[in-house]
Amino acid sequence: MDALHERLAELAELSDSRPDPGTAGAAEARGRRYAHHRRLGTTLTSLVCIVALVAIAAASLLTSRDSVQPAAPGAAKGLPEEIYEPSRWLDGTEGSPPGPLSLLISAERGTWTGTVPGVVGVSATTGVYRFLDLPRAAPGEEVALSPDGTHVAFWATGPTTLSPNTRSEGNGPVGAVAVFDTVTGETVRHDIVSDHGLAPDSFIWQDSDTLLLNFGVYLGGDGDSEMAQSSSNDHTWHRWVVGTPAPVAAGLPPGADVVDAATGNVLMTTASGGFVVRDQVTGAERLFSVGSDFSTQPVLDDTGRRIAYVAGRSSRPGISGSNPNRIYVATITGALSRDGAASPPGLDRRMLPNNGRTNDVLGWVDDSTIAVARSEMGEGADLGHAAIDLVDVATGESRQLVISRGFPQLPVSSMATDLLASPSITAPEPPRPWDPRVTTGLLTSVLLVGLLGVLSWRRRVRA
Amino acid sequence: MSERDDVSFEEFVVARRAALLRTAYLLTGDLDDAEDLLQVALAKCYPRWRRLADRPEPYVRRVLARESINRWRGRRWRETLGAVPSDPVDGRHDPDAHDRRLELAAALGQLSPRQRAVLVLRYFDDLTERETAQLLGISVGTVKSHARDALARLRVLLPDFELSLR
Repeated sequence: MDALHERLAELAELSDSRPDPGTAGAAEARGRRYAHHRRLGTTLTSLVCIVALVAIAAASLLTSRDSVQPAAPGAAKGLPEEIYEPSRWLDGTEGSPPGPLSLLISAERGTWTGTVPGVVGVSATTGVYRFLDLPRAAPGEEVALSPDGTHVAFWATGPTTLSPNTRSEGNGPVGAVAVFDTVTGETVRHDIVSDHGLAPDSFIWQDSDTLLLNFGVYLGGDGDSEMAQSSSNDHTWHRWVVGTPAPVAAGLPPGADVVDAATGNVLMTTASGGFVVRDQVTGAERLFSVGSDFSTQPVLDDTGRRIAYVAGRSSRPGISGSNPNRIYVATITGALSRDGAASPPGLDRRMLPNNGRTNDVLGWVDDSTIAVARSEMGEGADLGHAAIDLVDVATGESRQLVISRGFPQLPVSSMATDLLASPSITAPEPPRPWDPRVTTGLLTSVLLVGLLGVLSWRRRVRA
Repeated sequence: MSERDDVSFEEFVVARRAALLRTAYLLTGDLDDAEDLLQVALAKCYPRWRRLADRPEPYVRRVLARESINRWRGRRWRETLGAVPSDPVDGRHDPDAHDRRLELAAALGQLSPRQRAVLVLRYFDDLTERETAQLLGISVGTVKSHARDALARLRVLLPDFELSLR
């Protein structure tokens, strides 16, 4: 009986007839060549990979670096002469103070899984853009820059005594107001205990150290009825002087619609559609009305006696609103009143010549100058531009202070209004860092391709 | 590589060439291919001989078996069947034996390279299923299925022979 082993051995015996052609020597020579080729391929592939890795890392590093030199002590402060759209991959302040800021820009901040609402601060001395890492800031809520650019007010998350209300942003309830000092990097926080969290309304900096804040409290938290979750009450105004322990009642009517606040004066709307200026020292009030064609809220000067606003009405069919947006400057003449009985208009108003197409009045720079926001729509590929102009209230002459190309509106959420009186500073365009996911993907791909290349070469190289 | 290692490599080849060539011949079915396969396997082992010097043969056989499969991937393995030498070196002439070899060689040529490698390692080199699997870098189950398929094919191709297994 033939076992398979014996049949195979019988066949294999035939190889015994083949004389040794010098297998050892030939195999050794081929082995040396084989080892050399493997080393050569491995070295070349590794070199190519290293060059690619260094190139990617260098390109990524270069695109993320600022070309701005640190500001010298005592460097002039000002708004940047041009505002750019910030990259979502800009660096954050990460605990280090950015110095006085000129602008805040709301921007989406990139993360590994998507984006989150963020705030970019623009340095008033260097023009550098940085995301502000505000501790425990409530995402998407208002952030306000003080007139001198040294304080940033923001709403922060905090604990609640009952179920939290997270419906607004889904990131925890608002439970505190905080002020970040841009010079020292310190944050002062005041927790406000509530059952379900705060419903923030607004911030207004009355001066560089005095913050007016308005908030209510939610009536329901997660798990309560929809009605309770979306309702809030006790919307009251508080005043917080930076450096004092806590906000105090501002002495304003509950639910007051505060439009502006200048030193010692607060401008509010009235139930009848007019406005009232309250002197916070004496309590005296002056009433006035600007008619029905105003498009932006009036802005008080430091005396509390003059306002500037944008108004106008187009007679062209199909055009509604306040086009063509002319600037009015007015002196409040309304009689003193505490009960709203004075008769409107209570204004001696004057339209500035040659000042159409203005979007908003940003503030009074001095007795004779106001700052306004304007925009120019582009055509085709030209997206137009937005600008901050300074306008002489006597002559209507204007000059450009800041420009922002490619934006139909100024991309500014808050501004250091004191800097409107200073010359703008030269600030280069902020860096546009690569998406770190792309950089990581490229680096990983190069490594993988290199590794596969080396392995493939070492396996396929012929011996 | 040191002189001592060179001698070791040469000593190994001189001592084990014949045995390795037998396996290589069964794997390839052609004496020229077998010699080339053996040289390639030895050449690939040469750069790491220093690490293999204690017990080189298992590694050499592993490279030999895997190389025999890899080198066949680039060509149509069924089209190649080397000529069967007429007689072994001892000069004995047995017409029946020659016919048996011829038919077995032709039948082996009908197997896939992996089936053939499994058959040779299991039933000529007498490796276990686990050792065969480790040598070829495949699972024990795959070794079993290849062995089963290879034997079934041989029984069809060689109906007159009893392929009893030891």
